[in-house]
Amino acid sequence: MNGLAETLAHTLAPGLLYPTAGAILFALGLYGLIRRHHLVLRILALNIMGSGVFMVLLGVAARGEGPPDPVAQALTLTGIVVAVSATAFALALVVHLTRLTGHAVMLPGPPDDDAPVEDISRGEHHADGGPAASDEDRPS
Amino acid sequence: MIANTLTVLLLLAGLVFFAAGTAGLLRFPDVYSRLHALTKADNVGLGLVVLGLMFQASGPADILKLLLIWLLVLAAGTTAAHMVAQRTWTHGEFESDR
Amino acid sequence: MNGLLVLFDLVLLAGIVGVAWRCLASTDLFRAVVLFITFGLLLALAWVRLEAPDIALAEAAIGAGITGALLLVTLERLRSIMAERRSGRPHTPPPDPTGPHALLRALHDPPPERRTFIPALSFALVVGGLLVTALWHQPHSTGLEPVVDAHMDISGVDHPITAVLLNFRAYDTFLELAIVLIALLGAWSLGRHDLIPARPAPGPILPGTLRLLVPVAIVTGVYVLWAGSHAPGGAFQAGAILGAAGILLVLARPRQLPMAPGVPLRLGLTAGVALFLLVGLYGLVAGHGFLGYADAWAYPLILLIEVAATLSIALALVALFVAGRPAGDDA
Repeated sequence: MNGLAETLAHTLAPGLLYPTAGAILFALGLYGLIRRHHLVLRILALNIMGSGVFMVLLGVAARGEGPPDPVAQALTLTGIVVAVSATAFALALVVHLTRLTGHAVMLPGPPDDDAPVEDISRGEHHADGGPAASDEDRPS
Repeated sequence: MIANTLTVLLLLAGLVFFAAGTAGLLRFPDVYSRLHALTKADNVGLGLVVLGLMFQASGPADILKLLLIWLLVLAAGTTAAHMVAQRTWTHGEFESDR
Repeated sequence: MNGLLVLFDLVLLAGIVGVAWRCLASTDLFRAVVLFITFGLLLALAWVRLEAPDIALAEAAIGAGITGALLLVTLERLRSIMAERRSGRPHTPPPDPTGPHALLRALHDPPPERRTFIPALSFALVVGGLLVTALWHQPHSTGLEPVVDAHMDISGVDHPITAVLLNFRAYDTFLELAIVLIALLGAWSLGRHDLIPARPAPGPILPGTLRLLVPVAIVTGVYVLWAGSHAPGGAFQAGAILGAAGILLVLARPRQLPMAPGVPLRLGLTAGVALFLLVGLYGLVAGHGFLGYADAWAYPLILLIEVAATLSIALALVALFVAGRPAGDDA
């Protein structure tokens, strides 16, 4: 009984609980990154993966009795700023892609080498098709 | 000891207001009544929390900072609520509300 | 007491993972972005719990605030581009993007196909399982905290994280500032910025509040910068606060952005990297190694670099929000 309580206390200590949650966040972000197609959602998934990494770093830094490890915290601070810069650049690319092709979706599967480039931007040719075109310019 | 008791009581009272505001946000039917619940209840709730924390402050500087936080949140929250309400008034509710 | 803390941890982590799940599962992009902002704020709470107030400040200001603003303005841009394409007049100024339910399909992602479910789930489970196993079997160590603590007296500042960021591992921070600059150059290389698809808010409320808030934000930013030498705070948090004030100013007058003066803007944007590089090179010449300081000069140099870095980060965040080179600038 005592051993069980000890194991439980060990398992629920922040030094182990938070890194575990960080790993879960990482896996969750990875899952979202694979399954969702809209690029903004993919950027969100990447950010969630990054937050999982930060949580692992900070959780490991908070292990033990003394004050937390300042090097890991400084690394995380650097990471947050880098993440926001990369996110901003990625979002600018998404806006540019949308302006060029008319949708912000990553096409599933490898690009077809034989397909003409215009094929991607079908929406442009159906632009005057009104609302009916909206179903066609989204790749299925 | 008295200060600690006061802090706990005020924090609990503040949490009641936060809970009420959140319940309103989740349960009320349209944007305006939601805003009403959220801004009114949360401003009082935050005020109570800030007041409770003032009893734990180490000096007048900390008390002033806490007061400043409350005033800033009041100003920012009011503006944000106004803008949400104005947008809803001119354009209708967000489609994703349903 | 300990039991209550564990309960708090469990509730907080469940909330974080749950919000992240709802965010990634949502078909409506606006909802996903709002959930992501919530996610960032919850993370800030977690960082406080992990005794990392610096990171909590940065997460709330940058991770939730600035990233949220960037995501929301991107959604508006996408909506406006879609509306433009549908209306078939590609060269008109952005139409009112939020007409009665204007083309919300632009901000919609259909639920994922069923066939990707099993592979994605198994892949994520394997990676997550490996990570958890590795983390649970990792031997505990005290980390670098004793080392940092032993050298605090030569660092020139009293706050360990600032000491690590700007003295012990200044190289990381230097490269980080460079990355911010490169991201901005990348965004600028995509072309001149267009009008921000936001309408000026009618009425005196927003300008009036800004007149109140912006001076307070500037004072707060400078205070956070100065506090960084002995307490949580520093260049990144201060830069984020000032950047947020700048973004608010841009939003208040989206149709009449002031013509940004080219040369001072570029000088400000590069000030952080340039000054850091100069100080680093001076250290190399003076015999302290690249990015090393003489002990007596450490504090003033760190403060100087932090001021320049704050300026650069704030300007870069505003410029990334506006996205694209300043109008009327043919450089």
